[in-house]
Amino acid sequence: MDPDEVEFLGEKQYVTIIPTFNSGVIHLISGDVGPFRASLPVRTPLWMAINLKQQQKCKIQQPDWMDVERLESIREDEKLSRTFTKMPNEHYMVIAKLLLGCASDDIPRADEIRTIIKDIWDIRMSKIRSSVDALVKNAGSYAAVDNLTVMEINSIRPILPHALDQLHRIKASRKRPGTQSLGTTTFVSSSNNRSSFPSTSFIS
Amino acid sequence: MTNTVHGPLRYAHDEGHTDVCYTEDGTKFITCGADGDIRIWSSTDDSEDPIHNCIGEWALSVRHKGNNLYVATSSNDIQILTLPEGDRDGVLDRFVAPINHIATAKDSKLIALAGEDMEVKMINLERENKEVTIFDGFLGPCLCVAISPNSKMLAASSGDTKLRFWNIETTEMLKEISCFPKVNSFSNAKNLCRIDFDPVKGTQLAYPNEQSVIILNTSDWSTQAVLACENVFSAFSIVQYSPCGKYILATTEGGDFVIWEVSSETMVSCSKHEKSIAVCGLMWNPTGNGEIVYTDIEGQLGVITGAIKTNPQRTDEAETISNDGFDDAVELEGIQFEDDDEDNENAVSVEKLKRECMGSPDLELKNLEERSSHTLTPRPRTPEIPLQPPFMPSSTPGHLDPRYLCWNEVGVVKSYGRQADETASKSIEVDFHDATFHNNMMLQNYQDYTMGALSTAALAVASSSQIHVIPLAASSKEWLLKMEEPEEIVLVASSENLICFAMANYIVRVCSIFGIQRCVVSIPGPLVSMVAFKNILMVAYHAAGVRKGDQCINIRLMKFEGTSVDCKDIGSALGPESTLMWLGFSDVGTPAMMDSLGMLSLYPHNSNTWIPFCDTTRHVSFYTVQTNIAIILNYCRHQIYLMVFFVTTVFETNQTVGGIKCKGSMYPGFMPRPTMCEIPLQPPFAEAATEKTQMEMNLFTWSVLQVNDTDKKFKETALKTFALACKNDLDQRALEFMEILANPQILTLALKYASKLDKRRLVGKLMDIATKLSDESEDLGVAEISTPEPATVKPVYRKLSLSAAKYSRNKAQKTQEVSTPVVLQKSHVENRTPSNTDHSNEEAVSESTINTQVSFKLLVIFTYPAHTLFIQESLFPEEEPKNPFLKSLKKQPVNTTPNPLSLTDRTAGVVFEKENKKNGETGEKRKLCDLESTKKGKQRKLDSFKFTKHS
Repeated sequence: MDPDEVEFLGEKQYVTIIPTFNSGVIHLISGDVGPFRASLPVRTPLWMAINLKQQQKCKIQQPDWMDVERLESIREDEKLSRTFTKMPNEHYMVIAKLLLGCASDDIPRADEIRTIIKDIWDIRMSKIRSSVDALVKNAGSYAAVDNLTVMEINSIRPILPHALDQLHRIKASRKRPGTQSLGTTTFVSSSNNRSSFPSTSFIS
Repeated sequence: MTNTVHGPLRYAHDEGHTDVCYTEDGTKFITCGADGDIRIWSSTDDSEDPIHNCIGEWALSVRHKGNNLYVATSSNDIQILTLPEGDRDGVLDRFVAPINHIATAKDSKLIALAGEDMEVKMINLERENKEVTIFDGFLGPCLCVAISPNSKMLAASSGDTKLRFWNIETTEMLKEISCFPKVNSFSNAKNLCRIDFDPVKGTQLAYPNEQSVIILNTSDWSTQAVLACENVFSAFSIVQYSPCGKYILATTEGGDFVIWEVSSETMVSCSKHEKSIAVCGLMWNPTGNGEIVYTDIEGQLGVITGAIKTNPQRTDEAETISNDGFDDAVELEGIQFEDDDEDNENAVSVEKLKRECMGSPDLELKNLEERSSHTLTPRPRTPEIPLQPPFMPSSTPGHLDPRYLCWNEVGVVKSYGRQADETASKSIEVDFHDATFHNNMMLQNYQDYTMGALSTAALAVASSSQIHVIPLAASSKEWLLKMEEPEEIVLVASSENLICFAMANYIVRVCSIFGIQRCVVSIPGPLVSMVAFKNILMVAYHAAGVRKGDQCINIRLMKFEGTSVDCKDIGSALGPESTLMWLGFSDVGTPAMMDSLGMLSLYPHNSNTWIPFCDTTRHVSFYTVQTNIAIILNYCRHQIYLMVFFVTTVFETNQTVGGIKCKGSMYPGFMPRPTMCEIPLQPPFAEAATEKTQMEMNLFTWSVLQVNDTDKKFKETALKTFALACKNDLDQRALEFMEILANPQILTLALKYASKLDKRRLVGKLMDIATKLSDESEDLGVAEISTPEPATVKPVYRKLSLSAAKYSRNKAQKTQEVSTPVVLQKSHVENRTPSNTDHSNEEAVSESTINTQVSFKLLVIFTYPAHTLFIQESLFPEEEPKNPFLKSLKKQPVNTTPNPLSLTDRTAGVVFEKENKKNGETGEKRKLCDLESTKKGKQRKLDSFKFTKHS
C-alpha cells in the first residue's frame, strides 16, 4: 500500500464544514450527506470537504483534537512514554496534512499545529525505527504494534519484511551449510517464512 | 469611637503619584495618576466603569472648581476639563516646570499652584485676563499650597524645609517656619508635606511634623495643639480638615489613617492601609457625610466610610441610648440595626440585597458595624428599574468594537471602528451566508451608521439622523433619507418588501425597497425593537411603565399589503423581571421572541397565543458570569450561572433555533469567528428527559408549528405514545389520547394495535370514537362551509389538519374497498357510482377535510340499505367506517377480486377508484399524476357534491 492509498482511506473520515451555499441531500453509496444550509455546520467526508474548500464553497471547522493545547499534551505524553500512545485519530497525519494544506486560513494557529504534528510524527517515527532496530538486533520474534496508525505502519512496511526475510535467509543458510544451491535456500526460507510471525504480525 | 470602614481597593491608575478630589457637590470624585489619565468616578463599585480621558504622560494633581476640572499635567500646564464628560476645554496656563499641587479657595475663584520651579502661582479665575500672581522666595521645589477659606492668606510648603505664609492681597510674606524634611524635587519627596487651613474660620493651619500634626494659630503664630498617636511610627505626610472643621485627618508615609477631634484634641479613629503603603492623595467628601476617598502610590483607589459621626442628631441619639445603660456594645448595635431596618421597611437597597445574598458573616458583621455608626451614605433608595432601551435584534451593543449590527438568516453585518473615536477608520462589512446569493460587501462608514438591517432584498444602515438603503438586486440604486433636526432614528428593519425605520417620537415610517415612502404609523409607546418579514412589520414597545420589575412590553404586528394597512396586537411572553433579548420571525413568518431568561417563544398564527418553545439555557453548558452581566437578569444575585444563546434565526420548518453559543459572555466575539449551531425547538414540558414527554413534546410541536415532513413521524410517534399507554395498562390514557388526536387513520392503526394486544374493552371504546368521529366530521363539514375563515394578519393553513385530511381520505377509500366484498352492497355501490363518477377523482385527491367528511357521510348513507338487508351481519355494516379492523380482528377470509385487506396499501383505494371510473388498466402512476395535476380547484366542487348527496 502506498501513502496515496492510505490517504484515500483517511479521506473517508468525517469533518464538520460550514457551507456557504444551499443544497439538498447528496445521496452517496457510503451514505447521505447534507442537506447543506449556508452557515450551518454539517458533517461531510474529508474528501468532499477538501473539494468544496477548493471551490471556496465552505469553511472547514478544525476537528476538536486539532488544537494547540491538546496536541502539545499529546506530544509530551508521546515523549515521556516508551511505547506508542493513542493518537486522537487513526488518520491524524492525513487529516492534518490535508486540512493544513488547503484550509489553513480556517484553522487558528495553523503553523503551530503543523509544527507540533510534525514533532509528534517525528517522535513516533524515531520510536518505530529504534524498536525495529531492537527487534532485529535482539532477533525478537514478534513486535506489538498497538496504537500505531495505518500511515506509520505503512511507512515501515516496505523495508522491514524484506529485511527480515533477508535475515532469515542468511540464518537459514548458516543453519544448513549442506544446502548450497541458491534455489533451495530460497525455497526453504520462503516455506519457513510462512510460519515465522514477526514480519506478518507487524504488517497486520 | 467610630468604626472606620475601608472599602475594597480598586485599581485606578498605574503605579506612581496619584491624586484625587471630589467634585464640589460631592457626588463624584476624580482621580489622576502616573498614566496620564483622569478618571471620573461616581462610586468605587466594580460594576461601573469610570469616565476616563488621557491628558498627558502623567498628571500630578486635580481639583474641581466651578464647572471645570483643573489638572496639572506632564506638559507643565494646567489643563481645563469639562465635567462630567471629562473632555478637554483648553489650557489655563503654561509654565516652565511641572505643577506639583493645586489648591482652590473655598469662597472665591482663586486657584493656587505649587510649582516645581520654586514659585507659587495664583490665578483669579473670575478675571478675564487670567493674571498670574507669583509668590516666590523658595529655595526648593514647592510641594503643597493652601488658601485660607476667607482668601486672605496663602500657605505653602517647600522642599527647602520651610512652611511659608503670605498675605494674598499684598503678596507680602508673613511668616516662615522650618519644619519639613529637605528634598530637592517633588518626585523624590517621600513626605508630601500637605497642609490645610481650618475650613470654617481660617485662623488655624494644620501641618504634619514628623510623627505629629501641629495646629498653628495663624493670627499670632502660636502652636495651638500638637496631635499625635501612639500607634503611629512613621512620619505624617498629608493633613486635612473635615469639611465641618471639627475633625482632622492625617496619613503617614506608612499608610496609617488617624482622625482627631480638633476641639478635644482626642483621637477618634486610627486605621491602616491594607498594604501599609503611603497615601498620596485624599479628600473628605464636601457634603460632610464622613466619606473619605484616597489614592495610594500604587495607583489604587479606596474609600473610607464611617470615619466620623457627621449627623449631629443621630450622634445625640446614640449617646443617649448608650447613656441609658446599654453597656454591651453588641446589643446596642443590634437595636440600632433593627431601628434602621424599620426606617427602610419599604426601601430596597441593592446593598442590602447583596448582603443577604452573599450572606458572609464577616461582611454582615462589618455592615452591622457600619450601620450602627450612623455615618452611613444617605438613606438607601429604591433602585429604579428603567424601561428597556431600544435595541436591534441580533446585534451586539454599541460600546463593543468591532460589533455585529445584524446577524440573521441572510447574512452578517459587521461594523468596525467605534463611533466616538474620530480618528479610527470606520467601515461596515456584510457577509452573506450563501455566497451564491450575493457577494460580500464592504462600505466606508463615514456617516457613523450604528444600526443595520439585512434582508434578501436590501441592506439598510442608519445613524440617528439618516437612513441609507442599498437594494441587493441593484446596488447602484441606493438611496438615502435624511431626518430633520429634532427627529431621531432609533431602529431600522428590512424585509423582502419593506424598509422600516422607527423614530424616537414613537413613529414608524415604512418605505419600499427602492425608496417609495409607503406609510407612516404611530406606535403607542416607547419602542423596544422592530423586525420585518415580507409585508409584515413587528414592533415591540412599552405599553406601560415597569411593573415591579416586569417590563410591560407589547408586540404589534402590522401588515402593509398594497396600499392598505392592517394591525394586530399580540402581547408578549416575557418572563418575570426579564427584558426582551431578541425579536424576529421564523422562516415561515411566525413571530418569535426571546426574553433575557433565555426562553424563546413563538406565536403560531392559528393558535393566537405565545407558546414557549425553547429554553435556550438548557442547551448551553454552564458558565459562570460575574455580577455586572447577570445584573440584567437579577440584580441582587452576587454571582449567577448564566448561559447565553445568541439567537439569530428560527428555522421553524426544521424545528430548530439557529444561533451562537456564547462562552462566558453575553455576545458572540469576533475572533475566532463564531460558528452557528442549532438547538431543537422543544416546548418546556415537565420531565423532559423521559421518552413519553419527548414524544408528547414532539406531537405538540408538530401539531402547532409548520415543520416539514412530519406526517409519517407524527403517525409513528402518536402510535408509540398509544402503545406505551397500552403497555402500561393505562387504557384510559390511551383512549383519551385517541380522542384528543381524533385522527381517523391513527385511530385505525391504534385499533389494530389494541386488538393485537387483545384489549377488547379498549377496542370497543375506540370503535365508539371512530363512529363519533365520522358523525362529527359530518356536522363539522357542514359548519365549516358556512363559516368564513377567521381573519388573521397572515393566513396560515395548518399542516396537521392537512395531513389528517389525507389520512381520512385514505380511510375513506379503504372503507369503500371493504364494502365491495359484500355482495348485496355492490348494487348500492353501483347505485352510487353515477353520482360519484363525476367527482370520484376529486374526492380521491381532495386536500380538504370537508371533502373526506363528505365521503364519509356518503358511505354511511350508502351502507345503510346494506345494513337493513343484512340483518344477520347488522353489527358489521352499521359500523361501516371501522369495518377493516373488525375484519382483521375476526380474521375473516377475504377473497375478493380487487383488493387484499391491507390497511397500509394506498394503491388499493386507487384501484377501486379506477374501477369506478372504468379507466381500465392504465396504471396507477398515470392516475397519481392526474391526481397531482388536479389538486387545485377541488374545493370549489364541494358544494355541488354535497348537494347531490343530500338530494
